[in-house]
Amino acid sequence: MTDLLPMNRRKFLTATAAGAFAATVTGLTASRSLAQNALTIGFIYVGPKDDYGYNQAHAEGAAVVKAIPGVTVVEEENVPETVDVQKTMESMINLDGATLLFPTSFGYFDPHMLAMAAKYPDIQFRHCGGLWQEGKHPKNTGSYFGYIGQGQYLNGIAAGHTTKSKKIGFVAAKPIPQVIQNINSFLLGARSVDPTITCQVIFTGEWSLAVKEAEATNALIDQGADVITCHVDSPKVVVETAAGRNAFVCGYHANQSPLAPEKYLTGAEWAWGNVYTDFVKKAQAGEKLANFVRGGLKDGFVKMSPLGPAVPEAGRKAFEATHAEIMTASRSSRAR
Amino acid sequence: MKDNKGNEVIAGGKSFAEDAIELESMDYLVEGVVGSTA
Repeated sequence: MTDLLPMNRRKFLTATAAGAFAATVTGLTASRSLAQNALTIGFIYVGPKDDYGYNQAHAEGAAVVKAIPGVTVVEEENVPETVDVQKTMESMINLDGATLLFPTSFGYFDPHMLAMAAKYPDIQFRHCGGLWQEGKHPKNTGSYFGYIGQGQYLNGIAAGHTTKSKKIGFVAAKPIPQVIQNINSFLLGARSVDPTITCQVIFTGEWSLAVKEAEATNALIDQGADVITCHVDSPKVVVETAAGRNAFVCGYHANQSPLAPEKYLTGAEWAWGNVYTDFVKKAQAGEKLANFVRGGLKDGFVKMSPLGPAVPEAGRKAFEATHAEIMTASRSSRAR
Repeated sequence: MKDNKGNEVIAGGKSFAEDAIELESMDYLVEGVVGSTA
């Protein structure tokens, strides 16, 4: 019954003060919650975002995190692996308010990202590649990468079932372990189908050199290869050149099937959206970000392009069986 | 497993984790690859 009594001034003031306090607290909570969720992230690419390759794969990952509430993404493409990338990072930090940066190209790491990490210890930097080392590199930096050789092995199975000449070809940028793993994985996948298959490799010496990539593709086909894959930044030239010569192709980095729908067998693609989403959600939750992250097909770091129409039925079955085997393997991603 | 020069690079029955240094430092092309890293 007392609730029905008219409210006196003291009660009114108390109530309004309490209400105001509650509103303030609620507002503060909401504001803090918003502040915790609000996150500006910078993505930096060495090439164009629509290169059908390395840079596009990262840009597709950035597009995934753009959809997360509270996230603002700032991007810059065609940033060389020079002091220019330091200027881009500083601009993203100081002008855009970015607190998490993904400089995606291999050559951004040392000295550029490390210099910025030392200058901005409250900013988090995560670099694509396997270069971060415990005890050697700053705690506000880290590396992420994937076991994409699993995808090249599956490419090899599709190639092994499609080749008629029993010769397949690989256009490679540089003879570094990541590239060599992909070459070997591609051939081992093909040889799981037919142990007489050989794979010729031509190194161009550069990550992006369209003329040499076209010349290498033509040379491989001239010497009998009828399925081609590659490890260069943008497979566009290799895919279009091979398809133009009536050879089949397996993709790399991103899905190149629109470039050669009839000749594209499948492709080993990055799935960076999953990796970036995990980093972003941890950052929004105020959790520590891992410094060293790895994963493969099973972990959602790598995915395969859909099989193209040229893959024979036996090839589809073998591909799907091996894919399923990898997806159910006991190993899991590494994060520390 | 042999490299493309005929040298044994991984003994039969040996296996490695995906991030084993033996794999991450791979500098050989396996048997059947035509080409050279040099």
